[in-house]
This record gives sequence, C-alpha cells and structure tokens, in this order.
Amino acid sequence: MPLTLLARLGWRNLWRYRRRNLMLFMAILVAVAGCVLVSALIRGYQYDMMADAVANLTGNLKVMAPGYRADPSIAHGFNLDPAFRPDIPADELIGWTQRVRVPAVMLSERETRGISLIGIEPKDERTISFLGSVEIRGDGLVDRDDGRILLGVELARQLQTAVGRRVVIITQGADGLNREAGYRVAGLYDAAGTAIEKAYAFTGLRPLQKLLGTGAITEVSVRLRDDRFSVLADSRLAREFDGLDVLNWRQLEPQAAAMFELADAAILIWFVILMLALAFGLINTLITAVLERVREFGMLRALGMRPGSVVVQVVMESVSIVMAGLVGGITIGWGLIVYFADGIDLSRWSAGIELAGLRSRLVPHLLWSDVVAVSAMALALGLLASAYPAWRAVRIKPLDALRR
Amino acid sequence: MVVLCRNLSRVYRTEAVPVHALTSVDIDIAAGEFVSLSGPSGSGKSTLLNLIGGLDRANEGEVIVDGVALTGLNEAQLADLRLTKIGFVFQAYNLIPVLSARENVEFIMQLQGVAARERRIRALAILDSLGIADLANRRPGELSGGQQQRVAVARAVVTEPKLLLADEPSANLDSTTTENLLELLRRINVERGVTIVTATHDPIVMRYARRRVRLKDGRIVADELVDEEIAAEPA
Amino acid sequence: MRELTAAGIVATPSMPLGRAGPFLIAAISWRNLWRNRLRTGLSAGGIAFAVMLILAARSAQVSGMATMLDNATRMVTGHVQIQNSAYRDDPALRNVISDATAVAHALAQVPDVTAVAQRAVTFALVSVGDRSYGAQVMGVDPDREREISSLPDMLIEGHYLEQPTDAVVGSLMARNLGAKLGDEVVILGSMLDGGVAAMSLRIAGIVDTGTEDLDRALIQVQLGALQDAFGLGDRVHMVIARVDDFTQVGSVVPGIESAMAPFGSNLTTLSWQRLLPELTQSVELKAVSSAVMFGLIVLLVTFSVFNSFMMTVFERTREFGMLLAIGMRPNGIIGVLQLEAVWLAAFGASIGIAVGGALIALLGHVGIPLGEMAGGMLRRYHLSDRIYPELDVGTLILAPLLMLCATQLAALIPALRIRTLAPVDALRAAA
Repeated sequence: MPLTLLARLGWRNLWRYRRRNLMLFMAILVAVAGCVLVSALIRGYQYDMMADAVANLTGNLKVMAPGYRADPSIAHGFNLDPAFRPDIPADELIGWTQRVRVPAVMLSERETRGISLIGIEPKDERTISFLGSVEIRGDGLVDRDDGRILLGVELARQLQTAVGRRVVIITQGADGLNREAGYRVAGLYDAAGTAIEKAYAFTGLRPLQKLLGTGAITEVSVRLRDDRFSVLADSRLAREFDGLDVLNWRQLEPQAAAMFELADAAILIWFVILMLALAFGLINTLITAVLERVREFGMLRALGMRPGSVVVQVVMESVSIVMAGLVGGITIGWGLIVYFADGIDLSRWSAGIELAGLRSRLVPHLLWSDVVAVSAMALALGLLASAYPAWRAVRIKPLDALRR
Repeated sequence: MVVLCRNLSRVYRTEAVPVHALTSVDIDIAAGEFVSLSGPSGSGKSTLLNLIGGLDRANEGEVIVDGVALTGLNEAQLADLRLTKIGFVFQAYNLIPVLSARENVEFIMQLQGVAARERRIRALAILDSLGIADLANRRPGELSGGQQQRVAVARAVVTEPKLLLADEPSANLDSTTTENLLELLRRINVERGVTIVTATHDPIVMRYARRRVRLKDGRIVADELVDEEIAAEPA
Repeated sequence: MRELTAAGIVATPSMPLGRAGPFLIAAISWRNLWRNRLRTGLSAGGIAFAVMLILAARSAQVSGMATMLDNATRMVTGHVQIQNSAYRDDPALRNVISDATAVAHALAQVPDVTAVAQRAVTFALVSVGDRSYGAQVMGVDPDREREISSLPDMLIEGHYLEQPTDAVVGSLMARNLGAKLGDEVVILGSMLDGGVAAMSLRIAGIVDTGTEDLDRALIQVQLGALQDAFGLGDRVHMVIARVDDFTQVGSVVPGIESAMAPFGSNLTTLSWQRLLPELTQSVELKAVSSAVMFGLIVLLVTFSVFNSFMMTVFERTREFGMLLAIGMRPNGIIGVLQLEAVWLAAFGASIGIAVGGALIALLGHVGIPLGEMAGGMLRRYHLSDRIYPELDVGTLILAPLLMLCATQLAALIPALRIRTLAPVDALRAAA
C-alpha cells in the first residue's frame, strides 16, 4: 500500500475537518510553545546559577587543604610552588589564580563587622571572577603587592566608611595569635547588594601573607571554558596536588548544585504533564474522525485496501497534525524566547530571588536537546493517542460498514 | 464460468431469532452475462451479491470466482481478490470524498501498484470513454448523484475486472439518470465483456439485465434469460 | 418521535417545550452527556487530570511553604518584632529601644499576642583560647526565649542559659573555635558610650539549628549580663512577639502599632513578612510561576472540551433542527448545552478532587521525602527532610471553579451557532 497515497489521503482528510483540526493544532502549538518557553526559562535559571556559583570566586575547580572548609583559617593553608602551572590544555582553561582567604573583623571609625578577607592576584581575578565585570568606584587593586583594600558598596555603607578612609583589620595569624593592621580603602565594588558584597573584602596577596606571617595560600581556583572539562581537569589537579582536596563547584556550593539537578527533573516533569493534558483532546478528535468515517473505511476495505493500511492512515493523520503543531509551537516558542532575550525582570522579588540563586533578570536559555526532547515526546504522543482510534478503525468490517 | 455457487447458505445470528438470509442457493454465471438479482426486501439478493464479492462468508456451501474458491481465503487474500478481479459499485458512498474524480479512479490502480504515468493515462481514458472527462478534477461533493455513480463505474471498471458487482446502483437516482447509468453499464458489458451482476428492486435496472434471477425468502424462485431485443428497448 | 424520546423529552400537547421544568432539563442534560460515552469520558478525564494535578501540586507546595515559614519564624525572627526605626538599615549598638520593659509589657497586653521576649544584639569578637571570630552576640531572657523560639530545643550538648556567666554557641562556631562544653569564652566589643566591653563566660550549651549561617555565627548570653557589659542599662534592640496564627499576623499588627504609639515615633513594628523578605518573596515567586504553569494546563484542557462540544453540536444539528421545528426556543437549547457543560465539569472535577485528595492524604501520611539531593537547600529554606502535605482549601474551591468557568466558555462558543440555525436546513443536515 503506497505510503504517498496514504499520506495524501491523510493530509486531505485533515483539511476536510478544518475547524476541529485547527483547534487541535492550536492546542498542540500552545503546549509545545509552553514546553519550549518553560524549559528555556528553567535552563536560564540553571545556567545562571552555575555561572554565578563559578564566578563568585568558586571557579569550576578549587584546590584546598583538607579541613579548610570546616575551619577557613590560615592554619589550613598550603604552600604553592611559585613555578606552578595547572596541567590543563590552554583551550580548556580561562584562567587560574591563588588566594588567601581568612575570616577577619573589620573596624571602621564607627562600626565593626565580621568579614572574609581575601588576598588576591588582581590581574588573574579580572579574567576569572566577578571582579572583572563589576563596577568599581574609586580604584581597583593594582597588583598582588597592593596593600590597600577593596570593599563592597554595601559593606562600606554598613561600616560608614568610604574611599580613601582607613579601616582596621583583626585576624588570626599563622601562629594562632591575633594580628592587627590598618588598611586604606582603595575602592568600592558594586555586586548588586548580594551577600558577597556584604562579606568579601579584597587586598593584595603579598601584604596579607606578610600580615599573617606565612607564605602559604588557602586556595587555588581554576576557571574553565566549559564545565564539562572539569572532570578531566579534576583528576589532573589531584595528581599535581597530592594530599589536598580538589573540589568542583557542585561540591563547594551544594545548594546551587541541588537546584541545578532539580531543574533537569522539573523540566522533564512539566513536559510529561503538558503532553498528558494534550492527550485527552487528541484522542477525542481522532476517535471522532474514525467513527464518522466508518462507511468510508468500510468502502475502502471493500475495494481491497488491507486492514493495515487503514491503521497507517489513522496514525498518519495523528502524526501529521502533531508535527504541524510541533513546528508551529517550536517557532512560536523560539520567537518568544527571542522577544524575552533581555530577560524577564524579577527585581520585584529581589530578596527571594537571591535565596533561590536567581539573578534579577531571568534570561531564557534554549537548549536544542530540550527541543529534541519535546519533539520526541510530542511524536510519541501522536503515536500513542492514535492507538485506540486505529484499533477501532481496523475492526470495521466492510460489510457492516456498508450495510448501515 | 466466472462465478460458481454451490449449496450456499447464510444465517445471521441475532439476539432473538436466527435469520436465514440464504438457503441452499446454486447459481452459475458465465462470462459476459448481465445478471439482475431481484426480490422483495429480505429476499437475500444483497446477501448473495456480498457472498459472491467476498465481502461476507457463507455458513455452508462454496463460492468460486474465476476459478478461485473463496472459502479457503483469509482476509488479506480476499482483499487482493476484490482488488484485482472484482469491481464494486455501491448504492452510495462510492467515492473517497477528499479525492477528485480522476484521483478516485487512479486510487484503485495505486492500490494495485500501477505506475503513475500509466495510471493517469488510463484514468483519463476511462473517464473520457464514459463521457465524464470534464468532471475529472471535481470532488464528489461537487458532483450530482448520477455523476458520482458514473465515476464509481469508471473506477470499478478501470482495472478491467472479470466481474462487476452493483448493489442497488440506482437507489438514489431519478429515472432518466438511471437510464443513462444503465446504458453505460450495458456498453461496458457488451464492448468490454465485463460480467455484471446487480442486486436491485428497480424495474429499470432489471430491464437492462438479460438474465433475471428472482429470489424470495433466501431461495432462487426464478431464473430466466430474456431476449436481447426486448432488453434494449425502453419500457 | 424516536429522536424526541432519545433526547429524553416526551412532549404532551399541554406542555409547551419551551418551558419544560428545571428537573426535567437537568435530567435531559445529564443523559445527553452520556450519549457518547467515550467522548464524555475523555473530556471529563481531561478536567479530572487538571483538577487533580493543580490540587495535589498546590497543596504540597502550600504545605511546604507553610512548614518553611513556620520553622523560619520559630527559629529566630519570631512573628512580629518591635525595633528602633533606624535599626533595620543600620543594626548598630546605639539604635536601641529605651523603656524596653514597658514596651514588652504593653506588647503582651495586645490581644492575640501569646508570648513576648526581649533581645539585645551586638557584634563582637568571640575568643576561646587564642582563636577568635567575629560573631553576633545575642542577649536573651531564657524563659521568655523558650516561649517564642525553637532554638532552646535544639541543644545537642549541655543546657540552656541558667547563670549570668553561661553562653550558648552554635555547633559550627564551637568547632571553629576549637571549643568544648565548659570552656571559657571571652567576648570583646565596644560599649554604648565607647569604652571597651568585655565578658568572660563559660560554654553551657551547644546548639545545632541545621542552618549553617546560624550555627556559625550564633552565640547567646543572658540579657542582663550583656546589658551590663555593654552599658545598655534597660535598653534592647528588639522586642519580639509570638501571635496565635502567624498567617493572620496582618490583622494583629494594627493592634500592636496602637499599643506602641505612646512610646514615641522612633519605634517601628515589623511583621515576619518584612523581616524575612527572601522567604516571603520566594512564596510569591512560587505562586506566580505556579499560576502560569497551571494556567497553561487549564488552557489545554479547555481546548479539548471546546473541540468536544464543537463536534457534538455539529453531530446533533438535525436533532436541534427538529427541536426548533417543534417549538423549542434557541436559548432553551443553548441552556441545555450549557447545563451539559456544568455536569461535565462537575463530574470531572469530582473525580479530580477524589483522586487528588486521596493522593494528598496518602502523602500526608507517608510524607514526601525531599531526598539527599535537596540536602543543604532544605536547610536554607528551613525545611525538614520530609514534608507532610495537607489539602489546601483555597485550591480545593478555586480549581474546580476555574474549570467550571472554562468549560462553560468552551461550550458556549459552539453553542451560540444554534442561534443562527434555520430549522429546515438543520433537518436536512447529515446525521
């Protein structure tokens, strides 16, 4: 039974019942567009979360001494060979850096705050962390010997200090005794008022090491071009840093990692739900299409068409309308994503989104694997929904149909 | 013999009482005959036609069409038989609504696997020879009852079947249209040698048949050959 | 006539069809639904699916939110806080509430307030041995604190504050300081008047709240001891109230505000929604995104119902023509169709509620395990690792209602075509 003939019959039969097939087409279109848009928004969230986790000094991979995570003091530091270079191919690596990060108390003329004091290599940071992209009022740090301090705007506000003023740092040195030093505020960075801004203060690596009385560092952070490279990079670093912990961003930010995984599951669940919601209407329409053409099917059987061909006809009708809706839905979904390319403004819920790890603009991110998934599910739906109607169609005996 | 029926019986089991549609019917039909099966409602004429056409299975007895016994065939084989050896014209719903007249005629050839070019040529030829070439691109919805039946005849005949079965072909037509349709059938019967068997209660149809078989209560009660001359004259 | 009885109508000469009684119409419309069992079944199935999903998902969500908020408010913030109006933006030592005792007393008199506690808070350096950390030192009244906070129940070692020299610390802080129960802890900060404040205490208890941020930075001492050491006198930074039903806190706030009026305009009343904006907004955000998702599902099911009715109306054209011919009004026929839509929605929604309700009941018994995966995320949201959902009454009413309206609309549009039907054409239409 030639397929092209059946295809032609199926296509024309769709047009015969224009109105209700149009309704069905629109329903599938809405469902598919919805799937595409929702998945893109969730992916946007997912990828932002990862990007933020990575950019907020976490990096894709970090090397630390065991015990540092529980007690982030210089007591859990380690020494780094000055000639060290990570054994990672240049095309996978964006950059890497070393840092000293210790808890400290910062006193201004008026106020006191507990903070995280971080000694950095400013040039490296500019490439690999958020410091490279935030607005800085005043001066940024020049190099690793810069003895000034860079604060968050929010922290400065809380301490009631400003660029050019002095603050005092009290922290625990390598020998376990408290150290105190004065710093001049070089500049203030604006990280949109997030928790980082209230807690992180930066200074040059060397002066901090000197204050603490050590040459050790507390972490090496590596930023890769794509997170997928981290698996291999992990093992390479582990070899280089035998005895130390090598952790990826998922281990360092388990909340973010959990949200990340949840997103994948959420997308799948929504796809299934929307397809199910669609199924009822699809089966209804297909069944009616078969039942009102009992005589026609009977006549075709009488003429000599095989039962299998009747099944193919029904299935083809179902699949072709699903495909039409699929194409339309993907187009509309994609169009919507382009329309929202600048992101959806969530600033109304600024505190809530911070808790959830969202940014103030949710930018959709379309993954073609998601589009493929939707398509596969829609086609599967088309096939499954046509099962019962096709079964009914096959049972039509030529004689019964004609006698009616 | 194109059709051989021996001791044919068909009983329908309903909830109440079994209906004996046909009882012990014997009939032989030779090539080139134009047969009418007539009788009152419930006489079994349509049942007999359906059995000959392989649309129904007998409870008892045998049907042999063009040398092939129908009793041993499965559904697929019966379908093939209907496709290649038998042409059908029904009372109504003959044509596929979404295909044009030409496409309806081509459809049957597509089922047989005839090549596109040949299909087209043959379809247009048959439509032309039946005088309805101008209807080629119209859909059934755009044709009158009589025109639809003519297209149905074209479709039934284009595959050059041995046998053409027509079940109440004139039921929805007025008398003039019926005359035209039957004239068409007669031409096919005479010019192409197609054996025609029709089940009908329409006297106009019966007049064109040279062999008139009458049934009553599931049995053949009369089977007479009529003179050629008388058949050709209108009543 | 056969079609009349098939439609369930038996007409006698004395009964004008246009005004058949309400019960008859109800029966007719119900039976009409079941003329095509499969189609009705599928449409009802779609409605049931939508209702079930919305009910179950939203109930679980709301329960989860409620648990989260309850835990969060119980942990630290309480339900309502009175603060110095400058304190929120600038939580400095000097932004105090004077007459704290009087304020607390007045607060306790407000109806629906079930418990009141006072706290003084300051940032100071906490040292054990030669290790020190900056931390928030919280001075509390232990007895009052037990009434409004769940923290005292989270001790894993030792006991809560009994002596003025007792301190209770978070588990992570203890670990970071290398401290054990009974160790001496020194607190150093600035007094209100600028001098050096020092406290020498013993660790009497260690708590584990499950929230890293709290466990790492928390240390509680007796209120009096803190006030003495930091020169606060009778002053505190927050007076906290616990109310009967924290979801209704909005209705208690006006009463509290008027009770606070005599104490001057530099006091502000903050409900937990303002104190925990991240949680409040999370709830809102969830609600908005859920509404969008559920709306999509309702839309899809409505399409299905619409199609259903369109097919039905088309198939019954001859029947309608006949009804019009014998004297029924078009609006009457439309009324019957709308009633069929009501029956359909009611039927489908009932199934949805039954299944959804059963699902929630089952989960409410067994609990939804939030799993390993959620891990630290739960702590952040103050959730325990299983939630026991309860049926959300709001959704129970809203979801079926929504489907009812949607179904009515879906049926109306095809039904309106009956208005333009000419009986004679209709009768000739294909059955």
